[in-house]
Amino acid sequence: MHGRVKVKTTEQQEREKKIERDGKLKAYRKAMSALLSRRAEGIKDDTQLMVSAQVLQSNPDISTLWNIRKEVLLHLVDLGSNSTEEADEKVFEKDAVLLKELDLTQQCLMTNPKSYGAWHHRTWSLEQMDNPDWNRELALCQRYLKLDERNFHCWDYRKWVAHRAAASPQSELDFTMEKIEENFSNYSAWHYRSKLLPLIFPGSVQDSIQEETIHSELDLVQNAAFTDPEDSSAWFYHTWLLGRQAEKSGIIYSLLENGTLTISCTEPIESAKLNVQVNESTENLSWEGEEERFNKLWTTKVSWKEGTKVKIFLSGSEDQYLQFSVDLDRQLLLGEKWKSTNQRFTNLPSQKTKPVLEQALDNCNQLLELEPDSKWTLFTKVLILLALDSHANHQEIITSLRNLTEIDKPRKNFFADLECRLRTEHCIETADSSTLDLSELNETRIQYHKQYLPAFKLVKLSSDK
Amino acid sequence: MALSRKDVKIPEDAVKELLLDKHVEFIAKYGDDPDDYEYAMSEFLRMNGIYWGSAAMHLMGSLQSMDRDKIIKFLKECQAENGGFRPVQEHDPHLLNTLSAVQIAVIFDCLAEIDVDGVCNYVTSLQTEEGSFMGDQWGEIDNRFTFCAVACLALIGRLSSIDVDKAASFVKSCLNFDGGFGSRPGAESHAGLIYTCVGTLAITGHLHYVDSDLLGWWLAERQLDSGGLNGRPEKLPDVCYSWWVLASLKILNRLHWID
Repeated sequence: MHGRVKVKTTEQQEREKKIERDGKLKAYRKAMSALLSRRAEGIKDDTQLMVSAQVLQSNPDISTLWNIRKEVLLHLVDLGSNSTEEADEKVFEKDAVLLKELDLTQQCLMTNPKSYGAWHHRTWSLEQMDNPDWNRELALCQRYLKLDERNFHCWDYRKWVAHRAAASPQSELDFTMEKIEENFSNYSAWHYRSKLLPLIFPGSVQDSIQEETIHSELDLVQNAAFTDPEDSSAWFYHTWLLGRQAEKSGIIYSLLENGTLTISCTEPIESAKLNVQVNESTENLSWEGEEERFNKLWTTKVSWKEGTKVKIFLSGSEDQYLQFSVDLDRQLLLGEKWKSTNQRFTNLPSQKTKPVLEQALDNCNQLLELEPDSKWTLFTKVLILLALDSHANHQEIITSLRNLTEIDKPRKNFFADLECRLRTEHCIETADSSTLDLSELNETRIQYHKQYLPAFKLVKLSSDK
Repeated sequence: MALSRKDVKIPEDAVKELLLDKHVEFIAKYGDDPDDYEYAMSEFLRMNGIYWGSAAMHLMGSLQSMDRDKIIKFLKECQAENGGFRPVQEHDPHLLNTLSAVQIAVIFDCLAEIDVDGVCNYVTSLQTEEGSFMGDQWGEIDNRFTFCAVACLALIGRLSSIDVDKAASFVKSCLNFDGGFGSRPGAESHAGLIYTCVGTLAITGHLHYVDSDLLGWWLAERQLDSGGLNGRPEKLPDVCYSWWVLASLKILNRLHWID
């Protein structure tokens, strides 16, 4: 069981506990037996509600009991709306009946604030109501989040309520600010923020946020992170703000050599998306790749005569095509996604963002002077250096990563692999046109940027040593 | 400097080796006394419990200590008309129990003893328009159920019965800023839900939706000074997370990123 501390008890205490438990078990079985047998007979009445409520209050995770309640409620509500038919039945006002479910679920949540069954039943009940009181529900969320600001059931519930109540994303953003100001270590609040910002301050790309917003969020998160550098919550959010934009799908290069055509892409795609036109008519080719459906690297066999005109593009990006005339040599065509040397993996920041990053770097360096072993500060410094200029800052980044393998020993392989990835990128960026020398890299369990290797005539690997 | 603050301290006199014989003994006789309080009161989880026990016994090479016939009888008694499985007799069927039942049947090599077509129909009927799965007819949506559905069907070789691409894109819609996944779109990343989502994507051939470096790092950060793992930042460790986190890292080929 989660979170229960082992407690040693005396024999006497054990005996008393056994008697108490035997009693509880007897009562539980009696109640369940009655509920299930009456249900089997098709009985849907107040007694079923009363008895199931008793059991649920101490056992809110028995989902069958919540189901029984729903069946009874739907029946009673149905009776209420057809009250003219059953003269001697009580008239049930739908919302009044369902309000009692809110009271019950509230009691159950006191027993177990993380009961999936209780939260879902509450949601279900509100969905059935004609006039739900959303303000009451927001207030409930406030209370539960005060008790446990990380209760994700409550956060999820709050999001659902806010949506139904048509609460503005701004008002929800203000709520996250309240929680963060109360306690910087509120990962759940930072997370919710990350969902709201793209709605309120959308950037040019889907799910991105405006540059100015990133700047103000960096300011906010630096404040939080530096106030308590050992708490990871703000640092994770900080990492997100510094992150690289996701690359758009595209062809990196095509290679025709010895009757094999290779197409390399930035992200895994289905071969159906590859379009090859030969002398202006579409060729149907059978492609091979490492994985069955999605690959970054696809190859196929072709037997084209010299002079054949070939055009290659991805579905949906017809304007970004590669075009060449077949000759007998090795033909490498660099696509739109193969940027010039030094720029391949480097995304220089805008003029507005650069000073913000430089300030952040300064802050990190100041903190590192006081606390040189602060793993989060040092790792964040690496991320800032990458964001500023991964190529120019390469050496300092590698040195910092080496330090991190000492400071944060459990994760030393993560830092080693990151170093490997960055050095691979650096090698690709600085390679001449035909040779890629990766021999100085340590062997790694993860091979990064495999889709680049065929583009080079000669690739030296560390295992060649 | 301590790397983590919210953590446990393993006491000096704590057990230092795995007591496999005792674990086998415990599981073998669990359920022998139907009036044992914990056993009786957890009947709403029984199907899951039998899976956990059987899987553990199988790993320990002691499956023969379980009562295979009794378990097969229990499975048959718990399959409902709609094909889904109850946790125990008379309780309602649900996807969670259906996965456990199929897993148990695979472990004991007795899939022929249950109605596999029924399972397939039940699971398929629970997929929604947007690709997610309800746990049962009452409509709760959660990625725990997405995983139950795809894992269940994969085990019985019927994955093509559902819209696999839609299930994968529902999971994709649950991606968070930290590379992780939650139970529904907008829900916070949590190691348990990450396992269900990464598992779903692996089974459906869409693992490339995951930023393995970013998520792998977030998962590696679950390890605390005590060596234990938590489920999300600034939470205490719990041994259940050893499973969710390690299994996820293994799928992502980054198990070596923790100690």
